[in-house]
Amino acid sequence: MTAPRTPRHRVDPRARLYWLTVEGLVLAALVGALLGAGALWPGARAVLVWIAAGIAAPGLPYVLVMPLLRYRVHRWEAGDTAVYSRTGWWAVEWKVAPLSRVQTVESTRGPVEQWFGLSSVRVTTASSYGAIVIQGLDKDVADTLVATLTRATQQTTGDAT
Amino acid sequence: MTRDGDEGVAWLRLSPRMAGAAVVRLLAGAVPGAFAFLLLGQADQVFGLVVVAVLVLLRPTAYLLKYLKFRYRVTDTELQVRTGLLFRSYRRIPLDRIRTVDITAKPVLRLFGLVTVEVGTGQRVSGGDGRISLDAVRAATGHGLRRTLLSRAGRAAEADAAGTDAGSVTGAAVSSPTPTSASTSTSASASDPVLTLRWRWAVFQMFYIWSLLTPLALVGVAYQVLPLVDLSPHGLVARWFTDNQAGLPRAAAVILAVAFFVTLALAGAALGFALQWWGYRLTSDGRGHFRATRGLFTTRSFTVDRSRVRGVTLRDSLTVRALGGTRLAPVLTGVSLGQELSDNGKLLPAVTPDAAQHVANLLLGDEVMTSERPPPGRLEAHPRWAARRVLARYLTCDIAVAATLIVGVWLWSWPPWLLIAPGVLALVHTPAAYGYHRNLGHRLDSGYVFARRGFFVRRTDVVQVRGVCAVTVRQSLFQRRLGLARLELCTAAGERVYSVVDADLARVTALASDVIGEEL
Repeated sequence: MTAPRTPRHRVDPRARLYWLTVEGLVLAALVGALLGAGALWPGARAVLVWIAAGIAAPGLPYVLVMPLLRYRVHRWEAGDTAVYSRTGWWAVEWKVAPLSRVQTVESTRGPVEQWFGLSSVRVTTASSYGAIVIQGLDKDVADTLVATLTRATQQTTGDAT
Repeated sequence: MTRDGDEGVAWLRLSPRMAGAAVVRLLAGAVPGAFAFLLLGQADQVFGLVVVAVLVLLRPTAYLLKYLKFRYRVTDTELQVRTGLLFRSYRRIPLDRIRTVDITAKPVLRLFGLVTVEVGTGQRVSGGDGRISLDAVRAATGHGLRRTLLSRAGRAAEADAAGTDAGSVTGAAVSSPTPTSASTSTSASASDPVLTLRWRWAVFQMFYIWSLLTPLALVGVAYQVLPLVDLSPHGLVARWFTDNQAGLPRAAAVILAVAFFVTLALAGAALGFALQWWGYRLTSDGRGHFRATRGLFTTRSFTVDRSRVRGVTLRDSLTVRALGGTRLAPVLTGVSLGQELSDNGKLLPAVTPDAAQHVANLLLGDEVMTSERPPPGRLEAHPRWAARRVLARYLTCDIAVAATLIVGVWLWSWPPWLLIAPGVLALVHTPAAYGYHRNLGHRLDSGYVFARRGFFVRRTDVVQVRGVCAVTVRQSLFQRRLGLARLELCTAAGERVYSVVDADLARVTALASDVIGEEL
């Protein structure tokens, strides 16, 4: 086979709305701040409006299209001996971390994630670059995954520093 | 919260000779201080005096306070440090977390026979990056302290290595340090010289690419800036180099100025090399402990333990490569990224490939680097598309530069001859892209991944498979079209991530599976 194989599980479908909301809020805040500053300072208004337009023009399609692309790409799988993930929409990354190298497993929920009932799972290894982050999991699925992984990593030894 | 066993160990202070060093610093600071006073005192005598007094006295006073308040001790299990006047802090480092102990001695301290001991754990410990500095202890005390701390750390590091081998999935055949119990166990005093200074290595440091480019940049800047202060660059050059005040032909003046600055830069680099690497010796005690000592004014002593080595990196820039040199750096665990980048972290200067190969094999404990040139021997080539990808990247940068310059010349009337620059860059970049492709290569062999890339700075990474914690296969949009991919090996050592770039996707997947031991 040429490309690495596709991990089995998709993330939760609500993740699309979650990404849309988060990126949309950031874009709205940015453009709003620029336009607000433009309203307050008439002198710089033209420049600020141009910058806001320059950010909004590519930003809007990005916010609308990126969640769909991401949902198609993002996959995860927790096998017997390793954790797999595929992420990205522009650059696709396949990540593998063997359970014998995993150091911590944690799940986090930001405010927007809590609103959608989602959760992220982060699996770290001894390397500060080697962390696998799986966003947009349903919270029950995430909790089960964390429990499974913690049990599995306790059974395998070594942490390869 | 001290334990009972700790009570018996006394708290030690830094050496009282620190006071002498503080006085010398005070005197040294007095000269620029007097100068500053002359400047400031014009306006207001009292104010000037106060400011200068504060500036001159601040550092020596802080130094003295450090002596008064700093206490340290080494118990059975920990190194404990107590310090602080306004903010008391009490730091405890378990002895088996200690990974590096480096000894440096600045000239002021050397006058008094003192050294600075820097202890590193490579991790974040109670704020900061886990490094503790004993600013001034007697030289004998410092070396004794290093021996003690490293003997405990060495045992812990060997336990790490043994544990890793047990948990390693690929079972790579790596020779772990063999503590020969039959050998005479004199504490690390038997040292075989591995490498001593050769003055021809100064050439590599002198012709480092920035020492050639910086003078050119300086001349360019001077030509722009001097006319603003009503000085003619040509007049200056004419006055300095000839007796003819009427000026030289333009080209001759530029050439003279550039030649002058280049010579200055080369001399400066040679002087820098002498100061940094004076008396350089790399010794081994035959049991996997290496020590490098160097320095003329500031002496530094840096130790490396084979059990911490997870690979090596060879880096050479274009000019150094042309002169036949290369720079070797070990990939070490237990070194935080900050420590990695600091000056202490240099084990060798840029040396010849033979010396680098010899030291690399000693560090790795195995004949990993063969004598094939260029190191590290035959590598599997990457697809030709990689050359075109890199060329596209270079040309995009050139086009961006050209666009900026065109806007500048058009809107802000910059000098039009600047537009030659993108053309020159494009001319340089085209063969560079193909040179880049020729340098690309990788190989998986006997528990090591060899990866080489780069043209202007070529780097060769030799990474132990057992040190790899996770792998990432990455494809950008353009790489998907070209069937290329990038493999990132994540380690807990060195730069934390090592890459094999622009290789065929199927090869990358197979390599990743072999390295990590899981089917990708």
